[in-house]
Amino acid sequence: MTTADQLAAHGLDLRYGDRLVVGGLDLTLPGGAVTAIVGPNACGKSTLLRGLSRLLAPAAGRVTLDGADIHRMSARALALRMGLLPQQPVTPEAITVEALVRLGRYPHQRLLSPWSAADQRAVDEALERTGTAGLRDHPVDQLSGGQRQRAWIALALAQDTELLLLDEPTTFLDLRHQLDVLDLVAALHAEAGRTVVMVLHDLGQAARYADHMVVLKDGRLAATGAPADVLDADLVKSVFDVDCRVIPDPETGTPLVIPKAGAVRHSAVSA
Amino acid sequence: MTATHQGVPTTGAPFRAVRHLPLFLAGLAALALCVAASLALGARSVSPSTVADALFGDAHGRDALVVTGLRLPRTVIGLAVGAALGVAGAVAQAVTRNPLASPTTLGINAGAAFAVVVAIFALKLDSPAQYVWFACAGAAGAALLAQAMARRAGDIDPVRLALGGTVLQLVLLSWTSAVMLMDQRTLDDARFWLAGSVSGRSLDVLLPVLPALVLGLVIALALSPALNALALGDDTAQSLGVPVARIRLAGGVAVVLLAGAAVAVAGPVAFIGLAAPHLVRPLLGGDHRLLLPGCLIAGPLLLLAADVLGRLVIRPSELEVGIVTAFLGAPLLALLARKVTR
Amino acid sequence: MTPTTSTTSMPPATTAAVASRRTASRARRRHRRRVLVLAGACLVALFALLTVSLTTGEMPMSAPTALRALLGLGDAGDVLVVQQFRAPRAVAAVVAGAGLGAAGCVLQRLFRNPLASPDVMGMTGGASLGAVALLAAGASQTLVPVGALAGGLVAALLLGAFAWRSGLAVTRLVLTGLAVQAGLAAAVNLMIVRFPTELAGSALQWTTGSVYGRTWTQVWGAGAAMVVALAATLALHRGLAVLDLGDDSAGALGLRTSRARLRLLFLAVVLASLAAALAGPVTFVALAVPHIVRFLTGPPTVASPVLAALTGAVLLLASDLVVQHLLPVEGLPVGAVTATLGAPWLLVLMFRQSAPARREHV
Repeated sequence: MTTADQLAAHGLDLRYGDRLVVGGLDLTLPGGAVTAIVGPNACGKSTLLRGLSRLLAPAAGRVTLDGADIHRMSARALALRMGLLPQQPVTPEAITVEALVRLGRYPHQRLLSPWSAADQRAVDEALERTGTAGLRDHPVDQLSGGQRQRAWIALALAQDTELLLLDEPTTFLDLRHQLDVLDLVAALHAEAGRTVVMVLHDLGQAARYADHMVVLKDGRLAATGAPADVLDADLVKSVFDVDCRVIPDPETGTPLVIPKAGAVRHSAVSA
Repeated sequence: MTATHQGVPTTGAPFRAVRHLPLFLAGLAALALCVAASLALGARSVSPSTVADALFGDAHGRDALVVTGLRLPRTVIGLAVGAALGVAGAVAQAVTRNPLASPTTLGINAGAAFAVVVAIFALKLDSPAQYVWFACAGAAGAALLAQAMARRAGDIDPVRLALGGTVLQLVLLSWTSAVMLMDQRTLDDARFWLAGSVSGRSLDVLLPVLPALVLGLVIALALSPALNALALGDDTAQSLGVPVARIRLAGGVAVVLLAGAAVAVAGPVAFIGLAAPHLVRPLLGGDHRLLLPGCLIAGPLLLLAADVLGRLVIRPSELEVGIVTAFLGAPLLALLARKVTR
Repeated sequence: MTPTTSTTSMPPATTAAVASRRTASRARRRHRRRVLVLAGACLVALFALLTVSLTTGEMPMSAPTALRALLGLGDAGDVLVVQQFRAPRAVAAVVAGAGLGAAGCVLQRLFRNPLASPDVMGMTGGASLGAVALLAAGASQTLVPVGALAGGLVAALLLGAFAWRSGLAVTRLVLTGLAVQAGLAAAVNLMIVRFPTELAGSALQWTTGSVYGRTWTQVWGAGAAMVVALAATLALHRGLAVLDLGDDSAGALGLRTSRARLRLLFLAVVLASLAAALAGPVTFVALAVPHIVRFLTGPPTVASPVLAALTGAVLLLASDLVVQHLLPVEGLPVGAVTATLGAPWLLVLMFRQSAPARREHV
């Protein structure tokens, strides 16, 4: 396992006001790998992602990127190394796909420097990779959910960072588009060697697409490691309170969670 | 993860008024204190026992006359105007879904002000009691115009309502200034009324607008659950079975009735309608079933406290309540705004 | 950030995509054409209005005469009238209108609120208070604009001081702005009510907005500062576009959101306060002009602040001409007609707009 792009949390406490959302977290996310963060609703997954990306200042502890505290780095320097796609990004009114993706070049530009050929190349490449090149002049708010999500991923790609944080990139998408997005992530990792950290809901998808898995419960680390080592019936029972069997995925051999039939309906932890 | 931030009501959540009971009681107690102070204090202070005698016993002297003849009507009018403005503000913000909105946004105060200033200019009126009907007519006219401008395909567009109303307000305000600058006597008479005041008015001024005020209050309170749904956005509200267009129209009507009645009695007191909902929200949350009753208390509280203060600071003269309200409420609003985290 | 060029590579997948892409780029061309048409129309109107304002008055003169007089040639009386009275007044209206339009444009985008303008952020209240306080203190008319400028800046300082709390959140900023505005406006109101009638009249005149009696020193000073502020607005536009993505995305792109917001806010304050120093707090321009621009050219781009500045200049100059020459009443301030002159345009545009307005902006 490489040590470059290694994101780590040390004794991390994250709070919203007085509420402790993530407490005392020690965590290392391997560089050059795809990490999936899973856990029940309101366990602090998105908060953790905000903490890892400098959007939320830790109440205690620190977050390091290759050993350097990210809160001591300048915002721009970090933005050149790490991109983030929030769960529900705000789409500016009537902005076109290309204009949106161009904003991804923001950290690469200086106050008065003009739009460079390298900027345009990065934008074109991002559009092409995400299959949104044909949509570049379309207003984003008129796209379908899947197209819109791809446009946003294109923005993150245009930012051209080694490290990409995605907060539930597959929510609101149908199965086909979910797989499209995940395949895109896998390709990014495989071809460009990028480090990807994403929050996912579907355990099967997480097991399939991630090299490394982080399981959270109530803001604390429940388990971490390779999906095959981590994901078993006991873990699902203890974290999600669901009785299940875990079998090898017939397609990939990765763990697949099958909830038991007739199991008592376990009320989901309310958000 | 979803930090329930200010102003987002939780429609599905159980109605937990009981939890806020101590706050409501504290508010009511403060209001009672203000009423007592309003009856007792002023250019000529009266002892509490004399106040009680004047109200319930058979005291006669000058002090008693001051209490029953001047301060009682003034206090009652203050209560009514404050309540009307507070509730109207909360409804206006819900209907336009804009925290910058207030009854002023719908052009109501500006319409009343323009009508009154023209009446002073053309008909040579000179006492607030004569202004009531002009203020009513002006407020209603402006409000109808603003609502008509905002109508679109049977629904009222919130952005149009806010924008159109504000534009209308600015036009009317500039006309008001023009009339006042053309004629010095009008300027002299109108500027006091324009500051907003509850002094020098008898209960006869309040009576004619009382039905409008009560009707407005009833509509507003009845609407409060639907206003919660409205805050979730039109589509969600519609899917929850809330008739969005009708609710918005009814809300607009309530605001007009309440704010129109208030401006007719007290002149344009601008700040309460804007500030009361913002002052109450950090304390009670965004649920309109709590917010509206909260404003019903906070509005008069703010107005009466300002009125009493206005009588005390430059005794024996006094400051107009509309001015003191802003002086009193602005720091409060700035302090509470600091509590807003996001 | 206008998308500049290059639709070179990538054959689109389907013919439907080609067709829709063609309509989309047609839409973009249409947008650019509209921007140019509006800018051109504003420039032509400005030129025409400036000519009118230099030539008409109690001493009418032909356009060439007025132009020569402006350059200091020709009859000494003409030179005096044009150079000392007409020109500074007209330029003051242009500069103030431009500042207000651009300030409103920036603020509405910054706060994502169609009602945002210097009026609700406390700057108007501050400028009014500064000016009225100097009037009350018996200062000379030439000092009053300085009071307005200082008042606007003090109001902005108050706003920043109250609203900054390890960051500058939009909601907190809006609420604090309302509070600052209310407090300062109440102080102005107090003075108007308590002043003797005469003084109350001139205070009202000032707070309604007037460009009467501006001197070249004031106009040049404010004008130069205004040009710098407008240029800075354009330079910071990239940050404004990134802020549109919401705080999380903007933060992830390396923008310090609070600091960027503070910087843009400061610019809007400078624009609005300079305008208030020249023309008093004319309330309508900053609120309405950005909407007029938006209705005519579509969603905000880098061109919007420029167009808003041009449109604001046209509106204020036209209003001042109406006040000077068309109204039967003498000596009304320009603010008394600006709203009347501008409102019909805005309302007509608002009614013509067919697409439903933005729905949820929370």
